[in-house]
Amino acid sequence: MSAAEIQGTPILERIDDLPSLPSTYHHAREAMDDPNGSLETLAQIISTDPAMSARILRVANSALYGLPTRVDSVWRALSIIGVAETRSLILATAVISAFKDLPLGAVSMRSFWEHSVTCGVASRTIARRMHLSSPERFYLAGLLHDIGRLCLFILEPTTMSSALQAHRERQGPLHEIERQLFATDHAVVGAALLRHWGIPEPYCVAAETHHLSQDAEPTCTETALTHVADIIVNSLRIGTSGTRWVPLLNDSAWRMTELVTRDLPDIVETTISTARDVTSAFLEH
Amino acid sequence: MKLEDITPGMLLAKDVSDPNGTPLIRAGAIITERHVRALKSWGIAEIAIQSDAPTPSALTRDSASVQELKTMLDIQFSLSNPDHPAVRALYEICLERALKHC
Repeated sequence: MSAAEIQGTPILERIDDLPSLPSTYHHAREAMDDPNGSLETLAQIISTDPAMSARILRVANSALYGLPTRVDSVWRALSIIGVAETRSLILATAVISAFKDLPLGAVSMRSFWEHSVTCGVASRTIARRMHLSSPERFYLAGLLHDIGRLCLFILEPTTMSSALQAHRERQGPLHEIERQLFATDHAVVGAALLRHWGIPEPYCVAAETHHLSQDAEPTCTETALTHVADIIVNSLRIGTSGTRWVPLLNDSAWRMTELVTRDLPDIVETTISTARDVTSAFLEH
Repeated sequence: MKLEDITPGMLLAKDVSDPNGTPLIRAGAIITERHVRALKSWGIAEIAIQSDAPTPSALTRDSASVQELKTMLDIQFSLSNPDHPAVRALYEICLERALKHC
């Protein structure tokens, strides 16, 4: 019998117990979806939320965007980075702030976001090398891929501690141990939360399918890049979402990145130098 | 071996010198990504490598700690597929980074 069944309610029906995104995010999103909306309106909405404004300015000034000069107004920051990047920046900021102050127990929140941000940066670095349009999509997919782990840590702290213990003893990959204990895993739970929040579908799919088995075929580029970025970041051990051992690399996903092995040192170097700065921009006061 | 086939961690078999004969990298050096970039910028297309196998090179430097690091990395990669060239390359990058810090 799974722990979830012992508790009575399956994890997936407890998504409502999880934090919701700040109202500023919803207002900002309406403004962005409004065909008559302007960047001024959007900047005004964000400015009503001092914490989000400050965070957006820090991230806009971080190595993620590499702006030539420091910007100190939200409107200027948004007009420089553009609408598509703004959308992903607001969502990233909203998600991190929704979860920031919750206790996790086994894994620190900082370590979790360090892993996620670095995974996003690695994914974006690969997308840039592939000359894909709007690389920020890949940053966001990487950032959100393990969000289901947060749900499990929050909803089922005790069972997750046993899962981490079993994983430490190398009884198997953490997501497989989760399946044994919960009859679901963080990938499925994460996708359910993202759908509950109304996040665009490609990010939900990337979260849901980022653990590709050996013979699986990635269905979209977001999934493939997130998968490869996750392997890179777990190898480098920058932060952790609980996983301690490097997961399996799926060869189809690897081939979709169009990378060759000698590209990896550069990807690693860019990822490490960018991620350090972006992590502190997102997490520090 | 051609420069594009060189991966960090390989062992240089012969000194690399500039046209005046001044050695730039000594034989026995473990090739790093920095070396590869430098070689590219110097216009050197080919260098002599001691062996294609993952380097026993650094072993001579401090065999105990290298062995310890490798054991740790072997465990860290044990649930992955280290026979995949990309995973092997990541392993080598991690080893190189760990050696730099020890």
